[in-house]
Amino acid sequence: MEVPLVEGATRDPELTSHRVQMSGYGKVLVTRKSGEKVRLALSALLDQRREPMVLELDFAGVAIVDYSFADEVIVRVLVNALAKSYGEKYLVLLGLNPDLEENVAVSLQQRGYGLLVQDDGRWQVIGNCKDHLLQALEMINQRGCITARDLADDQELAINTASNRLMDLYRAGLAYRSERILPGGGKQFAYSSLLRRDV
Amino acid sequence: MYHFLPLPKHLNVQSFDRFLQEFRLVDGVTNVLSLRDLEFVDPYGLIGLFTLLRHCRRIAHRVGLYLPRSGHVLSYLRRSNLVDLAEDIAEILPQHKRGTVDERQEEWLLQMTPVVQEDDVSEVVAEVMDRVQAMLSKSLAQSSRILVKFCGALSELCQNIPQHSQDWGVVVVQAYRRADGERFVRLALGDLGIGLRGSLAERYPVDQWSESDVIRAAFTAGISRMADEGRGLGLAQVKATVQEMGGTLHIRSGVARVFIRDADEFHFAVPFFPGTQIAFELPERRDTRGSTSGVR
Repeated sequence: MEVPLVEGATRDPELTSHRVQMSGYGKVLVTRKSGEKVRLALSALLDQRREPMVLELDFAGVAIVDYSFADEVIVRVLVNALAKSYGEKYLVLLGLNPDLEENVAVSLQQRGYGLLVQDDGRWQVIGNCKDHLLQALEMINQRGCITARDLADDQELAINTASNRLMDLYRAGLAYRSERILPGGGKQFAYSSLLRRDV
Repeated sequence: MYHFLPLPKHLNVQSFDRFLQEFRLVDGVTNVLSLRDLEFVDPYGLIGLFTLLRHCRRIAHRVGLYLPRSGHVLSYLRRSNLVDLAEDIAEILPQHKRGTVDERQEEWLLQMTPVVQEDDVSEVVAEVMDRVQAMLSKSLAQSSRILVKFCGALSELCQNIPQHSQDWGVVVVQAYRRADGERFVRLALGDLGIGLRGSLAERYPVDQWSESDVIRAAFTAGISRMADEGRGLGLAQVKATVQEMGGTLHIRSGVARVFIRDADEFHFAVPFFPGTQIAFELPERRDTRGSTSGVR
């Protein structure tokens, strides 16, 4: 099954962005069996790519996504991405109207995951994400890239707390983490937004 | 030799169960389900009738279907696709009535359609969505919420047939208008498979559960024949949709039938019938997000 792709870039030059038009698989996206074909195609694409990458699943033009399809495609690809089965790969959803979003959110909640949804310059997390993590994510998405020190200073947190929050976002697949060499020779983790440069 | 089994004048969820209490087949003859006096049949009645014909064919081999006297009812049955499907498994009686069809058109969203494999489900959902959208565009109704909810439920319910029943089934969907003008959509589906108890028996100690417990478990998120995570959400979400959108749901399996309306859940003991049969209904108006929605 061919994956219809549109390439793009995030605000982190290390992190590329690739958009898949889900309507290319049909406007009615239902059943696990249909979902399995799409999941295998997406997994093959993610396996092929070596570089850190955000896979944007664009649901514009899709009339329905049922729970089974959402679980088979979105949740299972997310589970593999979080386990780093594809290397450094992330998922973002686009073009979800509120009715479709509800079905996808239920599938994510059922398994305790959250995903970024991007729409006309705005973003939100559907599924599970704690409030304090959302506050940290807001800062990342606003600035493009932050460190634990930035978060600690901005939100008046202990550096360990800030560091743990950013690590939790990374583990939840909601932010990209990269290691930076400091001018003095030390190392530091930076946490980057998964959103496209134009957002 | 024919043995006639007269069905009720009104064939729906309740009368189907009453009929089964008296239902006995006779050996060595053609058992004929007689619709001679039938005046009304709803989608669940259609599904019950067809699965009953299949059941008779399985256990008695020779089976017949006696068509109704009423020309309108007969035409409805023909338009529903029931008679065409029944011709493959039953002798249709009387012969001279087979071709009768009048011009009246119900709002069929899906005539009786077999569901054999998962690919059939995508086609069923696409067809219902197309027909509902055509109706929506005629009436300028704005929200697609009921459509997504209804078709999501349709998809989940239909998938259960190829995934869990070890049989094939049939599904039918119709739009109605009540006397007060409110519109609603109703679907029914059924199979003659292993039922909910048979499906859950692979993973759970169902021999210690009552039939109501089995149905209750099937509605619980995460409970499924399949062990992998993320399974067992379909029926739980159908129930949530019914409760959120002011619909109703009947689910019959083995010797129990459960009726759900809003927060209420009623359990009934019913005569044994194989497989699982379901009736699901959503009204157009009740939308918790505040907009009028649905089929017009």
